Amino acid sequence: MAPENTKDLTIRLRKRADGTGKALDVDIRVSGGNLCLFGDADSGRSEVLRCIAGLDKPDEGRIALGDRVLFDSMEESCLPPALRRVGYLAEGAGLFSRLTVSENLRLALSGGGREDGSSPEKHALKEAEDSILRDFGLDGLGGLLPEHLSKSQTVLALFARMLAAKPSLVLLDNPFRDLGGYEKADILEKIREKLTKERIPWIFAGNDRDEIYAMGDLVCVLHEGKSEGTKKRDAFFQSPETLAGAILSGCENLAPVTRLDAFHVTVPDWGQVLCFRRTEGQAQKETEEEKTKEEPDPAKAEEKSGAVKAQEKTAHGEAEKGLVLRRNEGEDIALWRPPGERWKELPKDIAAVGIRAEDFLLKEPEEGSAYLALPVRDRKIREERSTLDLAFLPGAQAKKPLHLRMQKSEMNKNELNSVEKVYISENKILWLRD
Amino acid sequence: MTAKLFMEEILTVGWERLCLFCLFFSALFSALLLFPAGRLAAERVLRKNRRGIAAGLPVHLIPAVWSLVLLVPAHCLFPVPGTNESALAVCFAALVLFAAASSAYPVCVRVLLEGYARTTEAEVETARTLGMSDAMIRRDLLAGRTRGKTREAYLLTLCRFFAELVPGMVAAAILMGTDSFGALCDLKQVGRNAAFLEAMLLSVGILLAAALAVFSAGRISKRRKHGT
Repeated sequence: MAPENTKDLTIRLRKRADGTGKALDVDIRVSGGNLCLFGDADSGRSEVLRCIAGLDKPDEGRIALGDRVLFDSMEESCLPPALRRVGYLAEGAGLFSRLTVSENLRLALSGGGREDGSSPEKHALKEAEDSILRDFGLDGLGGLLPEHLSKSQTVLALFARMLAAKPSLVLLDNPFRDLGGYEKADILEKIREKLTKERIPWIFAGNDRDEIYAMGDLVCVLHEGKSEGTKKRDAFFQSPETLAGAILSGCENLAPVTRLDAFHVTVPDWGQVLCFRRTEGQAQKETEEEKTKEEPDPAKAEEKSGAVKAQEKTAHGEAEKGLVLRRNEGEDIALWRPPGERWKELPKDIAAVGIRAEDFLLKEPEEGSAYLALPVRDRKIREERSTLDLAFLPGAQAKKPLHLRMQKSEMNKNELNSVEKVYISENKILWLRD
Repeated sequence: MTAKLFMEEILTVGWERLCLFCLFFSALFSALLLFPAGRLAAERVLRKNRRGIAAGLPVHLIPAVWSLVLLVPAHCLFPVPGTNESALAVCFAALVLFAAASSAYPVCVRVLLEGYARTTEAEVETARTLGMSDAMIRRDLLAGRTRGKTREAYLLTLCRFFAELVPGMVAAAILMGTDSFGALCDLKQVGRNAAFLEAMLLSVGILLAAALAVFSAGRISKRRKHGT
């Protein structure tokens, strides 16, 4: 088998909704790394995987794995599933129920092992089968029918069967959903090791944060059949860019906003009018990204910078160090801006803000970092196994409580009960698009 | 003793009249069988909500409901006095059972075949992603089913079909049995208020039939949920 480039993955597809599947509008380009499609059950993740596997045909687009084009509507090429060499483990899939584990493996070995579909020698088959069973810890179970296997053994047997067909890419659609706790972690690790060792790239689709974190280097959020951009795993979990992404990543405090101007938003749920400006560091990062898209216009940049400075002088000219950003019933919510820092306008399509429960600070941050201070009203403390959850209203007009989570090892209930103000670093606030 | 009595009464009814009776009810059942509303409703429920308890209900309620519906015209159309009534009731019960089987048959078969076809399609898709060509799938996977182990699968399907049918038939039989028993009580002048006794027995029969139908529906929906 000739070695091939399986690093680059292009999935660009559009599909109209039909009786069985959702409408899809997906554009994912990955160069190296394993991809996770993160989305709930209705997000269309299974449909995307089915299109890649060749079980469904998109209306238009291109699916390519390295140099191999699996589907291209322009070139009118569409490889049949059997020739794609893409292993697919569908959600809720099972072994061939009337065949034993060994017979299941043998079918995969004889089918996927050879391009021409001819059957390998019997003894070679037997050896390969034994080796796979050993590798997956299924020795002695080859003669059993699937109904006699435990859930974890079934998952392992499914993986074994899939890998027996020697795929160039593996698609995993929520394969661990029936497994619990320790069992899942153990099998997940085993599978990941195996795939890494065999150098087979994979696309994992699911909605479990832990599984996504464990299985992917890159995360792409799928929401209502649309892809919302691909990010590195840690970057995604730290700063998701969309509301759907923030919900999936586990951000508890989310609220819709209305953009008032370049620096102000109202957050009705929290009863706040907030002013935020992303700091130079963030702005610089984004500017660099934008530079790749369009050439900078020095004249415009100067004009923009001038406008920002003018606004700062008029709106916040009274405070040089700590800018008063909101006044509500006599309380000031302050966002401290280091002197001389350049701030950037809020994005125009901002739809919501988010704050993770564990990102709140109980002590005022040191000078030099921008932060937001929020009063604590109507508190409720809930005790969990290892954490304390503080629900509070950040102002008299707030409708929806914010949640703050602390490790019990860091603070006890009494200390948390006496907290009057909480702080959130400006760079921990998530700006979210729809 | 009861069986002997029934036999005597069947003989006294006269074969000609019995044949006419059977013909009439065959025609009636055929008409009802063609009447699509009930079956369509049942099928819709089955398609939309395969996992709910409602999924199994229509299949089993159809014969029970039909039995009830047909009891009334049976009494009205054939007010055979005295000795012939229980014999007619026995014939009638047989016909109702036939009707019950006929009514449940298309729905049951469709459900079973759909389930079977769905499984096959999923397995064929899996086989394709494993690199098996269509020829290999036919040779190694599908053809394998018609030999050896697959015979078991067919047999199992057949058993399941009858298993799904039986509760409905039993429900109908209970209804008809209680009615026949009531008729016999009338005939033999058992008790001072035979009509009351018959009504009571019929109510018990209906309750038993309904309980059986619900139970079997629950069992089937559970089985479907597990995909077996």
